[in-house]
Amino acid sequence: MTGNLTVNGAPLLIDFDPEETLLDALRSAGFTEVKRGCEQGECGACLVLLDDLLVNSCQVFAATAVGGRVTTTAGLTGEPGVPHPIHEAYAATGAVQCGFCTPGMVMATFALLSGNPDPSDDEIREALAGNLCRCTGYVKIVEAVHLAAGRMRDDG
Amino acid sequence: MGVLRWAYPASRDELRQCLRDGARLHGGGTGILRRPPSEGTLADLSRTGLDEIAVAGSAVRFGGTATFARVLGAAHQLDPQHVISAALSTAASPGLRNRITLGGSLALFPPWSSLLGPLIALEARVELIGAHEGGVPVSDYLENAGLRRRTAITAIEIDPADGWGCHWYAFRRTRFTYPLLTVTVLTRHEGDSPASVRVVVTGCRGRYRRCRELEERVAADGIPDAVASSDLGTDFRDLQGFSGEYLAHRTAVEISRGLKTAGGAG
Repeated sequence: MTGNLTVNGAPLLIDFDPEETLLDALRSAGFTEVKRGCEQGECGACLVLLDDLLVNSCQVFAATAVGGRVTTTAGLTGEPGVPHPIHEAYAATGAVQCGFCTPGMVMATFALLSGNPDPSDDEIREALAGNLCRCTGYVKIVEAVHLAAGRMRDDG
Repeated sequence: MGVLRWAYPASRDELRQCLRDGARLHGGGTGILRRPPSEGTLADLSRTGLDEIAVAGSAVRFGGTATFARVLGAAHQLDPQHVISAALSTAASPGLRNRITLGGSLALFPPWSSLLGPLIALEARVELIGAHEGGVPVSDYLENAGLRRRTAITAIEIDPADGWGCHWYAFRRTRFTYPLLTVTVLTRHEGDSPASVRVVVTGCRGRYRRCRELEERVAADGIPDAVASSDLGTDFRDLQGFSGEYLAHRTAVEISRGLKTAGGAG
């Protein structure tokens, strides 16, 4: 099957098998910042925005995403190579260790801060409940979300 | 070996045709990915327009493909303490709640569903098209396999639960995992006494149980000091880490708690 997607603002023609997931299609097309983790929707490593909604791309058939707009962690600023304040906050607080979970964490953080610019600790933990990190113990990640929220509020 | 094909019904009539042709339905959720088919037809319901949420007379009507996230938002607007809000706010994760649909969750009826207890307790009505057309009580839909064959859920209707106090509880191994059992308690008071009570347990043998004998006893005699597991008629399988006896006892304790706390909102 073939179909059109818009990925990080650019049109993309994808070629995929009928049973293929959006995760597979994105990685095959070179978007390897979308990580393959549990493939059961439980680790959050593959999170992307699909039509502005946070989704686990391993739990979305590519065939149902055709025509949609996908944003990965690399596309948050709209300018290739330019980090988003959330990326910078994760680096500044030491919330990145092995880094495998980070793209998904960043996407869940972006989705949270898009609707709630000043979340509490509990709201952050609830928003990241679908993201697993085996390195950090989450304390630095919660710090990173607070830092990013503050910087994004300051930036208006 | 066959191939898997996709269909994209854009109207109810096209959906009916898909059902007549034996297509499997995919609302957008995660259930079908657990055992993805390798052949036949999968019908993607995302273009059928069945995702509307509306107030219809005295009832709230959720489209069959409305996602948990949208249903949660609507229920929260209705009443932040609504039993649907309580159940769905901790269901799965934010990313999954953007995909899991109300109709899909009801049709697949996974034993860990957070949704089923509240829908049964609210005596929701399910609207179907396909081999059976029209509205049926949710309990009939769950108990009658014929209603689930070659049908699609187009909407689920609930009363707003005005005047009902609610208690919803899920027993889980960790915060982000599926419930092993759920308890839903609704009570409606007249004065200090409960006039109506509904108690539903999911995760037990038979998947769910509405505890009608207990409901009648509480409505007649008032809220007891404690509920014993023998009062419930529920039976649990032994699970890794938890005996069936423990789960039954845990359920009884939570129902006791629920009858007292839900009673505060009469």
